[in-house]
Amino acid sequence: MSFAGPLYLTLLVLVPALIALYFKKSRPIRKILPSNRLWAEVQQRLNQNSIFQKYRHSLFLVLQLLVILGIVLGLARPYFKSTLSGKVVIFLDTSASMRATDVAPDRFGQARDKARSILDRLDASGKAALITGDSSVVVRAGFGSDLVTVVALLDKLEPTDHPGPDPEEVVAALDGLRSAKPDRVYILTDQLKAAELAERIRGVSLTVHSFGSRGDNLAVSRFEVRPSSVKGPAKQAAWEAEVVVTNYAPGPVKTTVELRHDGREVASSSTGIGGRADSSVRFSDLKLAPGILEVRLVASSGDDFLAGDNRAWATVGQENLSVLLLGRTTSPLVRVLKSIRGVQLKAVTERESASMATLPEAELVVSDGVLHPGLLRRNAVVLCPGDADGVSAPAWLAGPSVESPLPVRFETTHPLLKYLSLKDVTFSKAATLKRQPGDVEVLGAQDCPLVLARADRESKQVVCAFSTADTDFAMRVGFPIFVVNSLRWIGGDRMASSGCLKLGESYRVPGPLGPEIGLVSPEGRSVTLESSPTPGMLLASSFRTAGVYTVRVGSRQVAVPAVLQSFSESALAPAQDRDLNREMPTTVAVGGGALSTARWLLMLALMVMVVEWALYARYGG
Amino acid sequence: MLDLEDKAFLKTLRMLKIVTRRFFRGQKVGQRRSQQKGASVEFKDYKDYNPGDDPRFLDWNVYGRLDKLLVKLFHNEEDLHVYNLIDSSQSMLFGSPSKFDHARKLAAAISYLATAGQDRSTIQTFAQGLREQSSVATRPGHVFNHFHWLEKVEAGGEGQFGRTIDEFLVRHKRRGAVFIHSDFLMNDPVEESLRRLRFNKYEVFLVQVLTEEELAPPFSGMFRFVDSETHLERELYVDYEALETYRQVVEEFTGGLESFAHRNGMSYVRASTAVPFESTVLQFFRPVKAAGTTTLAAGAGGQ
Repeated sequence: MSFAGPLYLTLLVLVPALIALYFKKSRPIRKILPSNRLWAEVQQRLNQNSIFQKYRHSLFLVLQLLVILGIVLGLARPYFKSTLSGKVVIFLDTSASMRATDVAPDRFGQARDKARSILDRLDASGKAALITGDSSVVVRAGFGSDLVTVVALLDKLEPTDHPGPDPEEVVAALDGLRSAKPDRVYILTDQLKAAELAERIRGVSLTVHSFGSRGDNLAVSRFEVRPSSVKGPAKQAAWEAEVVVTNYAPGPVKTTVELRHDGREVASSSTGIGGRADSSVRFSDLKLAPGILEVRLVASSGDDFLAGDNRAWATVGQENLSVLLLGRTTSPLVRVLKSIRGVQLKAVTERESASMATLPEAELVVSDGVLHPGLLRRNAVVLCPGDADGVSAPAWLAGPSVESPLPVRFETTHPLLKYLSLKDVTFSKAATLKRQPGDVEVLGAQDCPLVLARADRESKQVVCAFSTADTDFAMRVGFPIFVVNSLRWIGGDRMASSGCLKLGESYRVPGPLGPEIGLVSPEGRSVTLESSPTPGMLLASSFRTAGVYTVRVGSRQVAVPAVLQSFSESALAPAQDRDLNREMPTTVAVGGGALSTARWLLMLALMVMVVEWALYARYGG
Repeated sequence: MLDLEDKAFLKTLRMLKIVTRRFFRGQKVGQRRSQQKGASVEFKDYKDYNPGDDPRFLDWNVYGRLDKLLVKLFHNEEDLHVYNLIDSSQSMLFGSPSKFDHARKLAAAISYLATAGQDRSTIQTFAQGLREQSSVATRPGHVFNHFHWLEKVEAGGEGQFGRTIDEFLVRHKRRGAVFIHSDFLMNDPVEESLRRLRFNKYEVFLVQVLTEEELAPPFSGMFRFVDSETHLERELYVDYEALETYRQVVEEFTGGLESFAHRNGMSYVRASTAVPFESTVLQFFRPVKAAGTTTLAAGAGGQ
């Protein structure tokens, strides 16, 4: 038998209390009588059936115990575990918010216990599949696995600091198992909306159990470190840092923001934050050596149920993106690249590159008028020479160049054209680009594309039909913006977040790659990643918890801070789903009979109370 | 003791008379007819004249008709010895007023009643045996000595009725009426002793004094009852059923004693301490018709 409201069972302490009170009250009162003779006769008559008579006066105690038991069990809503048969799919949310400790031991612990109980109820013929979901949804065990394996897998699972699963991915994963015709699906989560899932998952019995009760949480929602405009003495750069702290609790809290550099506290500040509000804390004139700066929140009032978002890191004085420039070293492009903060630039002239079979290692290559074979399948911004034809570079070009093309097509929503307008740009000539499947024409002339955005599993490329010598675009204020947009589109967060990795995203290893890549987690666990689907990419699943990882490539080591900065995870109690502390079965309730049983028990308690009252009225104490 | 200022009650007492079923030989001349021939005005019989007989009692009318000398005999009138035995065991100290007080008042009233009828009255307490005894009162004036004596006597100890009766029979050879004031909650059987008293030709009047708490206990719950005399303990849960059973037991106990008394020519009255003793006295001596006047006589089987 299980209970839907087991906390009410604590009221059973009333039972020994009542018994103690009863025995205290029923302790015999010493009374001196003129003679015991008549009472002896009474006792003799009443003791004719002694066992019943001896305990008959405890009838009221028994009735009162029955009333208490009835009420307590009624409130606890008991139900008998029914056995499950058939095929059961269990989806277990392993995202960061499942680490919240608003319930004991935490949401994930409760969800895992629930999953175990579901597996316990499966009969011998039952089969179970286990799916976990954070930033990616993974089928851990299919229906072919035996239950012991599923339970063992379940025991090994730990929540990550990744964002929660996309409902679409969950639905897709379940659809993948649909061919096995599951009988029942259990979703164990804290944020997925039951109604939304019920709408999308049809044709199978679905039960969504939500975990969690409160959303009080304090999180670092943004942490940026940048060079200060005022330089410090002794050639040491001064830095300034900005920390945005978000309070997700309805009431105000106080917190201390600490900055640590290489394990040493360099600054701290206390701040008060109103309910459901942000607070920005700025630190300036920080004298920091290259390394990793950590921010840490220490809440001095209020609850903070999620610890993973209380820390964040940023690299200080480290170049973020290594760029190899092919072509002229005096073009406007060089000046633009040098002016971009965080770019480690290395230049190779056209002549030098001609003698190279392979290009030097770099995260990104910018080619100004040089079409080197080594550019293929590498992250690159390629500015083709306008006078080149398709014969000399068949991999890039499809035909002869075009004279004075007029841009007429603009993909204004593309990130490459962010903050840009190319309507007045003139081109003296442009190469005829060779289109490939999946290419996006960002800018196009009447009969030929001018800028193509190319992305595949291995690389991203921006291919332009012109070089800096063929257009006035290089002299315009929009050109640096275009270059930065290109680098950001290709380099992603490597350009944007001070070298920090947001958990749930893949990481591209900078620099030349070796045969093996080693990864050391913040806890000190070391793993060797021999291969990955994309060379040089570390998958999101490699980074499970927030902290500073060390990536080893050969003899090189790169410190990679991974942070949890996700509104969906830090906001533990979504506004639309406040009452998460209760199980909300969507279709089939495990404890479906609990309510009716509780009703019967409460009615029984009421009836016993009436009987007791009647007996008391009839026979007295 | 007795409220001597209650003139009305004393007047009522003077109108009462103790009636016995049998004749007792008195010690002095009184108002009670005796089996002995005497000099009262009430004719009893004739007998042949013998020389020496008082010629004043010759019935000359009979001699004129029958020519035979017959002497008229008259009833003799003697006094009655009234014994009041008051139970002074520990159990009589219970109740408010206590059963002992109630019994003392009843005994005082009966003593007054006896002396008012020119009978002799004594009062004696008993527990494990006979205890103190008062002086003999033969006139109403003497009864005040009884009152003062009654105020001094004390109660306590275990009651043994059989031994008490044995001692009584040994000490008191003169027959008379014996009023026994007790709760009769002795541990030894009283019936045998009462029979012995009756066998010795005493007129026995039983006054069973009980408190209201003994008749209808007002308590309930778990109790450890302690016998005041034997100190024996007994645990009992008193609930509705126990109280009902107790009422039956009390009814059987008092009713059994009453029916025993009636079967054996004794008088019985139950006296509750909650009822004023005056009422008990008036209830005990119920009205009887005798010699054309209405008097109050004690005893269920009075003549």
